[in-house]
Amino acid sequence: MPRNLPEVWQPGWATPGVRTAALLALALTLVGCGGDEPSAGSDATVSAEPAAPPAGPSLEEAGCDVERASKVVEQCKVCHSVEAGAANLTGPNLYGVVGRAAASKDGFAYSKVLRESGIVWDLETLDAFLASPLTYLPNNRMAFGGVTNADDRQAIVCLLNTLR
Amino acid sequence: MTDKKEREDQTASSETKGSSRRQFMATAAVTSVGLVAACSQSADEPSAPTAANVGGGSDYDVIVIGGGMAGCAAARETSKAGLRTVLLEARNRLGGRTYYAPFGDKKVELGGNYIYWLQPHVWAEVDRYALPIGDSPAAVNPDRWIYLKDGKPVEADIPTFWPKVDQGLIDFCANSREVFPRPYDTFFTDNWKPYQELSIQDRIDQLGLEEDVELAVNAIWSIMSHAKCSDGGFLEMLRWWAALGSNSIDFNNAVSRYKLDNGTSSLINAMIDDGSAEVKLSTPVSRIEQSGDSVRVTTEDGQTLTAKRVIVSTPLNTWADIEYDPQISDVKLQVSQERHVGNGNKLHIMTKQDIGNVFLTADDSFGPLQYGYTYTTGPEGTHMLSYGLDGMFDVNNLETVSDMINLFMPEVEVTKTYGYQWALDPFSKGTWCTLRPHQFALVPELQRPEGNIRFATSDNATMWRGWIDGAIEIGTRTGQIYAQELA
Repeated sequence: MPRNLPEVWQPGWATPGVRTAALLALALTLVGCGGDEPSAGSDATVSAEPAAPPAGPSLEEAGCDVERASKVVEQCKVCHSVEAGAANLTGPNLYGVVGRAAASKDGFAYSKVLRESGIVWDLETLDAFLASPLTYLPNNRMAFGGVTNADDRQAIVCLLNTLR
Repeated sequence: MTDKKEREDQTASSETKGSSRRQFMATAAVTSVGLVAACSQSADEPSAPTAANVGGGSDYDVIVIGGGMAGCAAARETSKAGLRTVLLEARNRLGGRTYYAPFGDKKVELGGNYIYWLQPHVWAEVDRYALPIGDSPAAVNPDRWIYLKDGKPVEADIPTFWPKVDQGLIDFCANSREVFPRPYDTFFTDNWKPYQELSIQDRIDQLGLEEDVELAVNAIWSIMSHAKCSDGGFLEMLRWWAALGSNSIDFNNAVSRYKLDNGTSSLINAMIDDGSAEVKLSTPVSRIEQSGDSVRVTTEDGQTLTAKRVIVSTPLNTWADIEYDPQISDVKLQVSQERHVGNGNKLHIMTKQDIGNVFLTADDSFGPLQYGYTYTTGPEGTHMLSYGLDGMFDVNNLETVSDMINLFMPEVEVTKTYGYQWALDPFSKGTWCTLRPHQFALVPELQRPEGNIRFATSDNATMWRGWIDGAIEIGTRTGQIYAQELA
């Protein structure tokens, strides 16, 4: 049951296909690809929030599974704020997370492993991390077992990509 | 008089209705708070050293490590006594194993939340700060009780089943008054000593219960202890029973019914606001050194702070994650490393249908759920709470949780689920404290100071260990001890 992949992820590559192939292709597409993302380079060290952030695409425009994304994000929002400029809660604010270096949100104390991970959050790394945060990066401090349903995960990563 | 009347009312109704005495339990104790923004310090403020550690003076009189109920109570006491106090909290929120957090369009308790008027320390806080109480009577008045037997659901005939289970609980705790004649001082006599190696399961085995009754009694004690019955100490459960006046009505009320209407964070915030401690969030501590009259605390990012006294209010299971110089006692270290046994899941489950007041149980061979019950219900659906022993259960996967619920009730459609995974949180490493059998005798050592350091967490409290009340008990007392020492 392939989901419609949001076009902002993969311009010119919108044909629904087998999900694993799609994710792999996505990953390849994203390597070194700035695209619409403000600071997707691996050396990004600070939040990519512009002073006056333009509204990101809606979930519909981004081709996300709106119903699924809206449901899954409630779990994220237990511990994370998602609005631009909102305070970090138990977890860091997620606005602009796609394209941001891991552990770079100002004012949040991240675990050592995350600070030293060298990860840049893109669609691939977020998908892999969210599948099982503690498997992907042992000893990080996100007390969350993971979004184990691949469709849920794809929907939430799609949503995160609209937070810009 | 209020509780006497309540008891009479419930007894009366149980005689006529049969099912209304069966209030049950569900859990006690854990979680954390949220709402850091409401606390006196900004959540986003990076922690900066406040004073240079130079000369002979200390930066502070008291450093409290850990901002759960115990740490906030301790910091309140010392700061109100005029001592310069800083509270260091590892997470970006206060509350520890209580956590009042947004989920969808409501706020929910993801950890410890139940309180009761027979818990003297927390009830004093309720009075002091005029905190409104919420009541969820559905939890103790189920219309249906479904339990798993050989993996299949069995619908209990409550009017005949509950009295047998109730008698099982009473028999389990039959000697509570002899063993703990003063429940607030569990070591007042040595009467507990013959039982110190007994597990909860050992005690169940002595009762010779009929099979289905044993399934229920096992489910109830396993969720009270939040562990397999073979792991938790019998005396831990007996202590609760004794502290509640040795009866199942108050027991059931205490474990699944009353909580703070404005959330556990309302008490955390009240304590912080009442005192004047400086609060530093997102400040994990890595090392504590003592020399002479001073204690030096090093945070994970390398800041050092000094004080005359330090109160470690972090969970027992995390004590060993801090380096100490000189090292703390072998007993403290070993108990922390082997851990208390409280661990598992707590889930909020929303269903599409109004399923009424249901009560679900399974014995400790089934990990995902030992104990589930209706919290609220209505035309918009039912909000259930469930507790299980499997801390790694995939609590946030709708399909997994649906499958689990459908084992009990095949017709029910689950629409939402959430559980905070305490087992994965490095700052909790478990849920509410239940000591292993042999650990019970070690409590005095767990409370014994190490030079100018004292440990004060619900996990080493005396009376309501494992509960919010225990956190307030030991946090307040420890703060007062230092207030007097440094006066």
